[in-house]
Amino acid sequence: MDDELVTTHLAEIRRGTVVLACLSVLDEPRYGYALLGTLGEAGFEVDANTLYPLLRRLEKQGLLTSEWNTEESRPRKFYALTPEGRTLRTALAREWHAVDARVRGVLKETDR
Amino acid sequence: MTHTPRPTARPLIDRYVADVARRLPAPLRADVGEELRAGLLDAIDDRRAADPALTPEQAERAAVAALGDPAVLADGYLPERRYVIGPAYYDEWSTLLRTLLAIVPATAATASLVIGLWADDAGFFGVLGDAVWLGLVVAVNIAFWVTVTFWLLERSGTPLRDGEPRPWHPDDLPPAAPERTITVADLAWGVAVGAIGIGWVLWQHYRPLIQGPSGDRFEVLDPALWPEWAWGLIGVLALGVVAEVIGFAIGRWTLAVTAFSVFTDLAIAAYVVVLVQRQELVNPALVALADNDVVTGANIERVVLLGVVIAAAISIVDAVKGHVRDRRAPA
Repeated sequence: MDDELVTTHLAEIRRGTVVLACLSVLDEPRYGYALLGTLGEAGFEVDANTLYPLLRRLEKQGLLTSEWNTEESRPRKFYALTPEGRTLRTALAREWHAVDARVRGVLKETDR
Repeated sequence: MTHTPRPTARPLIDRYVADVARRLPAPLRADVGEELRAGLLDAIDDRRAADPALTPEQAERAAVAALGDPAVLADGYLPERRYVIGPAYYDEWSTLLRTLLAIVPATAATASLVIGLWADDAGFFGVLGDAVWLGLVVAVNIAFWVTVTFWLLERSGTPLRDGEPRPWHPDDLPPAAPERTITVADLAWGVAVGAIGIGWVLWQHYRPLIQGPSGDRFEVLDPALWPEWAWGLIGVLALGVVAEVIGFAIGRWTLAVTAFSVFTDLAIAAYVVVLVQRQELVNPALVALADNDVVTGANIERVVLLGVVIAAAISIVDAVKGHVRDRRAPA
């Protein structure tokens, strides 16, 4: 089967999960590069050139706040969840569980 | 946060950050630049920690490569859209453009042809060339201005309709298309016109109707046309009748029917135009007889050319309209 076709569809699935993943690990303020590592360890393959703009977009949507930390020699921009971010995370998590149950149900019929 | 870029010992990083930053609006540049620089420096440290054999330059290059095309990265930060006309406006733009391009350039070209034939003695093909060029210029202008307008609409976010869009309803469906769109009436009309034309050509030759002051009878068409050119004219007219019959036999304006019909229309028009250009259409004796300030040979030729162009245009437009209508509804 066409590799590009598989990649396209897999990317669709990944795209649907990356926001929930971000919101879930940002209970504790983190900066972009460290977040990349954290998500990577959790198994989420996010590109740096996807994550950096995404964090900024989530901030613009009011789900995250950001702050420059100048304590260390290298200044870094830390992101943290806002209350709205927390609320959205709960809603997304609920939807995720519902989708999971539905997909499992449907896949059961296909003996996968 | 600082607003001036801090030079580091990492020239590749500086170049990369600069390339991304220049694509961003001013408020974002410093902030995004600093964030990317910190991320890249962290990436270099990590890579060198994982593989001590890497030189700083190699680590720097790998880190920058991992971030990828600056244009793509910058695009992620921008609310701006990387297209001229987006999904919300595309259908309207496309429909409007196609409608205008189907109607206006052809109309302008025909009008130019008609006016040119009436005014100029530049010769038919000169006027035709000008008309085609005008049609082209009009078409390009329409395409450009419509696209620019929609580009502006897209950027300004102007809604296309007032209020809520009306949801589609099954009653909005167009009525069922009939099986046969070329009717007996169409056939009768087409055959009659062709037959009258052929009949007139023959009649005015063998039994001329126009009587001069001295009792001579004059043909309308130049007698020198007989036999070859005149029978050629009859042949071309007969071809037109054949096109009508074929159209009726098939019953719809298929591509073949339309193409053949347009071909015969153009053939008839071209034949007459050639005769006019060779100054061999009208009987010179008749022209001499009627010669005054209004009824000159030149004016008669103009009238004939106009008539031919208008008749051909009407017929071709009908054929094309029929084809477009029938193509939308498959049998």
